[in-house]
Amino acid sequence: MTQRAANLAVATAFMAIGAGQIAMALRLPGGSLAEPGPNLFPVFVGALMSASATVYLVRELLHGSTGRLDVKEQLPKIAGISLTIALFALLLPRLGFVPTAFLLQLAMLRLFGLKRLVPGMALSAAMTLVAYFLFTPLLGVRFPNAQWLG
Amino acid sequence: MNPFEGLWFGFSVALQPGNLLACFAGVLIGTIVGVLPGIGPMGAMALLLPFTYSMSPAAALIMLAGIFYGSMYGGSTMAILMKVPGEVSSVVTTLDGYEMTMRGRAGPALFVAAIGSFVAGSIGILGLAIVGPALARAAVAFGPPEFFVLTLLGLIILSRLTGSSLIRAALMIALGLSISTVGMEPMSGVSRFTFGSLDLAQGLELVPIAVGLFGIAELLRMAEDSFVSRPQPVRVKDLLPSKSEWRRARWPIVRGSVIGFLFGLIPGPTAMIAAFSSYALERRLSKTPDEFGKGAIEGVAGPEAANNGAAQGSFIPLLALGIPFGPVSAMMLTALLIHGAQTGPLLMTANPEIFWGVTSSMYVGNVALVLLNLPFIGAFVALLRLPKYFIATAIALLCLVGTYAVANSMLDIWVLLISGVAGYLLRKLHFEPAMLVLALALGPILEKSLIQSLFLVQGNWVEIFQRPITAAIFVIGALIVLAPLVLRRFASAGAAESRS
Repeated sequence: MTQRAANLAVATAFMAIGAGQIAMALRLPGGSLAEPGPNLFPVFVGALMSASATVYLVRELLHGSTGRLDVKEQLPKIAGISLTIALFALLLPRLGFVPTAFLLQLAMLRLFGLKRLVPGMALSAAMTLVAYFLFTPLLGVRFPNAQWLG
Repeated sequence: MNPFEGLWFGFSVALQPGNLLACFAGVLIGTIVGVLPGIGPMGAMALLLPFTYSMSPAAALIMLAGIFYGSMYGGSTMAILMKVPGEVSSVVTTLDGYEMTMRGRAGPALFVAAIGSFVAGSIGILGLAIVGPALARAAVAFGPPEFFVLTLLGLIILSRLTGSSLIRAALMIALGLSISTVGMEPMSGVSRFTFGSLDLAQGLELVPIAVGLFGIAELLRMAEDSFVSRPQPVRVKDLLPSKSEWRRARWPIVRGSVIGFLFGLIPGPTAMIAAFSSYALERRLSKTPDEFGKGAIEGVAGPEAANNGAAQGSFIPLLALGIPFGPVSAMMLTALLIHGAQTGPLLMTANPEIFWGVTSSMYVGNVALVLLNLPFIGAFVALLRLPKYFIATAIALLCLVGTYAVANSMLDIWVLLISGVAGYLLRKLHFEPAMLVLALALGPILEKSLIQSLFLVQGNWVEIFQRPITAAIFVIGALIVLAPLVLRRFASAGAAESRS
């Protein structure tokens, strides 16, 4: 993907967000300048975003950036890390903290280069225990109960 | 009692064994919660409040205050070493602190941050004792129009913070303000942009967004082996700043301390705003502004002094007037009320052991923080020698658990993930997410003060800028924005003349 195409896509996305915000804000109860309603500030912000995005778009069209934006090579790893975090969020209320944290770390260690299973499991277990004792008894954090484990 | 007699009396209170122990416990817990991303001083204070019931009022306040300024102190460690802000006020420290780490200068960055915090703490305590009550009364003269103009101008001035283009900064500010409008509207209670979700009705928390934009985004960047240079190994002699680094850091520390102290007097996320303002000021004053964002020591020294100065300054409205300007001071006011202490301007006369004891204990606490932290700089820096897979995994776990711990909310973890991916992509596109975080923090204050101001002036918005304080703020702001442009024009005209 070229930098120019990426910048144009970003400008369009910001314009869409700004326009969407204005459209949704206008459906909120209105008011006047003397008695402003809850839509005043979001409309201002949406207008600021749309105006800035339009300037960004025009500037990019007139003086386009050069170069490429290469994320293709990194995409599998980035997707892997994001997916691991998403799985953590999905599994935490179902398996509880200890099994979920253990699995998260095992996956992360593999993604970042520790491919051997036994050292990976040992390190994950040790880090999970340290995190558990730091956050639960010492700092009083309450993790969700494991729905799947009763 | 004059301020110096008061401080002397305060030391006699703070140095009593029970109070001394409370002070050490407070700063130690504060440092730990500051180092950990997500968990902030509020959580730790709320957790420990019941333990203070059996303490004397002075000891309770001394411990709670220690947690607060200790967390400001600890917040820089992860920001410098891993680009994960321990506290939201440390976001700006990641900009140059982490770059120093990548250049093998993590030790000096941590050292300067520690000394800067100590100096700011010391200046703040003197300010608290000498001019605190008078300044607190002046700060109360600020109404909604003054806060609106101050916040708006702050955003405009700080938009040139990082040297990224003005239009990119404007987009980040707009996005931050836009996110701040999610949830219940502060005046009418109407839900906005929640799509029927009860979780969103409370609005989006600042911490998951800040930790995602910096911590998780950095984790994703670490996955790009070929793009990320490993931190260079650090020799023992490299733990201390060089002479030239000291020279460059000393005035930013002093300026940051004063900025932080003054910002601490007003409501809102002042530690964060003070840190950003100090960074902007140092960049503007620097002879080499291009170095900012690439490892300039001034970019660590100023903001770290400023956020600690603001922490000390924020005690003034609470102790001198009994007005809590933020959630942390509100928690301390709760502790005062629980212990049946007098609150408000009479605190100084009715309970001098609390007013002066807490004030002097901050100095003791700041010394304790330096003694606790400096010996560990070598150990912290040694962490960078650990294998990358270990560091990355630890960052992921700390970011996730720390973020969850803020409100025990699963939504925050999803917000963290989305912010992380967004932060990664924004950097790829040369946007600076620090502006987004600042706008998100200032959004609610800006909106509330705008609405209140418009009610006050009955829609005649020109009147907002005609009040004496707002007019003065406006003129000062305009000078700050326009003066460099005019000076640059004169300089280039002068250069052209001398060439001809």
